[in-house]
Amino acid sequence: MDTNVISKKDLLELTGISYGQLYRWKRKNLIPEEWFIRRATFTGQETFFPREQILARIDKILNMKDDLSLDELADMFSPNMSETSLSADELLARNIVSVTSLEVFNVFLGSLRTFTFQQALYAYVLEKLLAAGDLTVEEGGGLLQVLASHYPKFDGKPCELIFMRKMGISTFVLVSGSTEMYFDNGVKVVTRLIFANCIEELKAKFM
Amino acid sequence: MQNENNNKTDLIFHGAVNATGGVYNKVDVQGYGKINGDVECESLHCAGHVSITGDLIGSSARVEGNASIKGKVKMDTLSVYGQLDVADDLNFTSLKVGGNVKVQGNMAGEDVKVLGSLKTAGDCEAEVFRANGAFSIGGLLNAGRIEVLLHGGCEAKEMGGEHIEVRRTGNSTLGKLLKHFLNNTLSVETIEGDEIYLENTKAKVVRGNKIEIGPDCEIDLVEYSTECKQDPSSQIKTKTQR
Repeated sequence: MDTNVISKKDLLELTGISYGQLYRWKRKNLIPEEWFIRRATFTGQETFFPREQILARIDKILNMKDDLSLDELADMFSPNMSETSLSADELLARNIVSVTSLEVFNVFLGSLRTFTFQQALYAYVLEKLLAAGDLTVEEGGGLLQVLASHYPKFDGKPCELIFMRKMGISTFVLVSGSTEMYFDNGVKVVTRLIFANCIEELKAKFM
Repeated sequence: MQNENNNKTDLIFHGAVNATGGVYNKVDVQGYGKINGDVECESLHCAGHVSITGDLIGSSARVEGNASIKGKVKMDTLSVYGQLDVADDLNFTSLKVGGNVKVQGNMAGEDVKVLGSLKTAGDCEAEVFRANGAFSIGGLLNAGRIEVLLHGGCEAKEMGGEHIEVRRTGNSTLGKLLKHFLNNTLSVETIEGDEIYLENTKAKVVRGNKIEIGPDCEIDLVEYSTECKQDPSSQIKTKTQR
């Protein structure tokens, strides 16, 4: 049995939600269509979900549904960019970026007075990697370059950033979906970032 | 014709006319109209035949004749008394199907009322889905409240929601006579919901919290959590409580 997925029945049992709630959340786009994996089993067709993702999502919905309406939650989980923009000071005040990463951002993409959500996302990804110590300041330039020139092409579709090093040389790759990738032994994958998660975290800070 | 309120023109067809798409105030088709491209309008009324090669976006539409849309349709209120064919997705706030609606893609909206016949190749999502006619859903019928009064054959691949209710129509003499000719049943693979009441339903799996299986159902597997009632005229192969 595949341990990465959870059947609908087990999911409802584990989380205590009802069929009605699950279908309502699906209608409100709180749970993306791609997560409904249909597979044939001995009882006929059954629906499975990616275990980690669905459990984290349901946890979030259950925790936040008292404070936010379902539509507001849907906005937060939606991978599409929200319309809001923030000033550089607000980004700092809301702990989205630190002064250091903002400076790096300014060096490579020019200093901006207001950040659109997308630009804030680039800054946030930069901040995350710098703060984790995965990235040097020079490598930040490469990261921002790949994001600025290629991220918009995904147009809100799920994608992932892979940051790897081989013999001290760093490379950034943007791939769509959860593509499986294999590298030779000399390659060290430093981080894989799923954009949907970053967007969610960033939206939570925006609100 | 300029409209004083919003400077959008009306597009009115009498006879056979070809027109190009664009932004209009009112589109009224009395004869035969063909529109090339996307149409955005406040209201669309079709008493004849209209075909649109692109998308249709607007706030209200009433189709009494025949409309065929090659692209997507997005309408707040949509009532169809004739026939509507949509080759892509259909989005709406309220949809009334008095005639015949066919959708090749998915459909989603708030309120669906089916008095005629509705057919969709993909999923159908709504807050309230009321059917008093026939429907065929190729994918998932997902609605907060599903109320079906069986007239003719109804089918869906899957049904899911909070409250699902399927009833047969009253026992009229004519109905009894025609019973052998008409196939007034709902066929569905899976039904999942919080509260489920079924009559005249053929299903592989029914899962839910509170399930009542009324008369004349054939169900392979019922999984319930609080209670399950069964009419003696129905067949359930396996029944489990979880």
